[in-house]
Amino acid sequence: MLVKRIIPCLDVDNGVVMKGKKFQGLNKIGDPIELAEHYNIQGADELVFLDIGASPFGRKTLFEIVNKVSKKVFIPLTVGGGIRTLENIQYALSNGADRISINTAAVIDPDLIKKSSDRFGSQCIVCAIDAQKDGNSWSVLINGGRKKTDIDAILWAEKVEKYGAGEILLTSWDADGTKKGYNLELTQAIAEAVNISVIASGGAGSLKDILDVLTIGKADAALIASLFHYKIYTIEDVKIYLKNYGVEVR
Amino acid sequence: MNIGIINYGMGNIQSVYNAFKYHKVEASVTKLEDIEKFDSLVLPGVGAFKDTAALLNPYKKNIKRFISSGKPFLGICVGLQYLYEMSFENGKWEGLGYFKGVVKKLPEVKLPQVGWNNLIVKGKTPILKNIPSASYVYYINSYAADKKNAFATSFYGTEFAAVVGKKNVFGTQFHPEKSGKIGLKILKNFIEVTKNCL
Repeated sequence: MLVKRIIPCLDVDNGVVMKGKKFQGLNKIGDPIELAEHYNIQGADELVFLDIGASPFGRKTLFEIVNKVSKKVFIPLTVGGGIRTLENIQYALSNGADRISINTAAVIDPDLIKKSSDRFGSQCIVCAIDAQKDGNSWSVLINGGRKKTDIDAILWAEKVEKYGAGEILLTSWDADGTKKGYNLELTQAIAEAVNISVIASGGAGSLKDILDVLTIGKADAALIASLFHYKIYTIEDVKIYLKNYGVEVR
Repeated sequence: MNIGIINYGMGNIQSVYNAFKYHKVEASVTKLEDIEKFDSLVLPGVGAFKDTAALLNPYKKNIKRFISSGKPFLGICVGLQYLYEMSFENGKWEGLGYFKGVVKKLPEVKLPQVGWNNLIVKGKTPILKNIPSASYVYYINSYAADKKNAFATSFYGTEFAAVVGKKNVFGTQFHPEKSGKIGLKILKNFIEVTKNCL
């Protein structure tokens, strides 16, 4: 049977893994290549690299990093952050990325999802959605959480599926970096609205938070940064816990 | 030993190359015109069957000639699917027809299947040497071939072919180049098969 995935997330700025709260206030964590190898040995099911600097120079640095990682680590590598064109995607793939996460560029031009999934296959295109509570619903944020749109997150999720995205990487802006748990309500709402798998991100603070988002939240995978970066838990800890609660993992 | 990775404009060639390199085997990326000279071939695959078949069908003769020479051949993901007679992915598309049967959509709500699924080993084949049943491998697919005659299967909505083989031709529906240690071992087995054929 297909099992739930545990995915460490490496936010990279100019070659260094960083971690912040609500997309701001960054701390230096370490070397992305060393961390990638370390998490691979610990049993990561996949790795996500996000360029948070979003400058052309930073992006190029990240691609060089992914290129090196892909020679040592043989699990799926997803890369995102500032990817805007089919050429960007092609370049990332040729540097060893397996899947590409697109966010702001897809919101500005949804056809990019269509074009990229047509050209590289749906399996390759992950749509990242940053959502923030807005009254009784959630709105999509762009530009790394800095700009709010009036797009409804659930409707947007349905649209990206229709346009050919193979998976959704959903970040709750309200929960991100708080360590108070994933946004279960948002995750469940999106997971139930679409027929593609959903990676939940933002807010993991305890083992139970991870269990909850994979069960109550109906996510297919949990993205985790702080808990692993600050060595609060290892991937193995998470997997043993999940197995004890009847959630199958690798 | 000279392993060729077929570059037909699709497929994650770099990852497959890296995985062989990990085993200290320098594989060569090759065009379809030049496949004859290799000791074994890998046909990687990502993306749609239609596009794959459109690029490969003009070279059917070359591929068939290589296969009938008895040299090892490994199809990955859509590369496995192409070895079948037909795929029903968004239409009806002809494949190589080396394996009898067709490729159909998986009967599951959430597609594509993304992630790690376990193998149910059904029989012995050299590329599954020392691979225990229930090992996890990485899939990303919406379509799959029938489980009939498969050496290993997995379950997603239905039981489908995970590993197939006949004589010198093998196929994996999952991505061995992305399946961690287990996947690397399967590729190592393919290297051994190639060695034994030299």
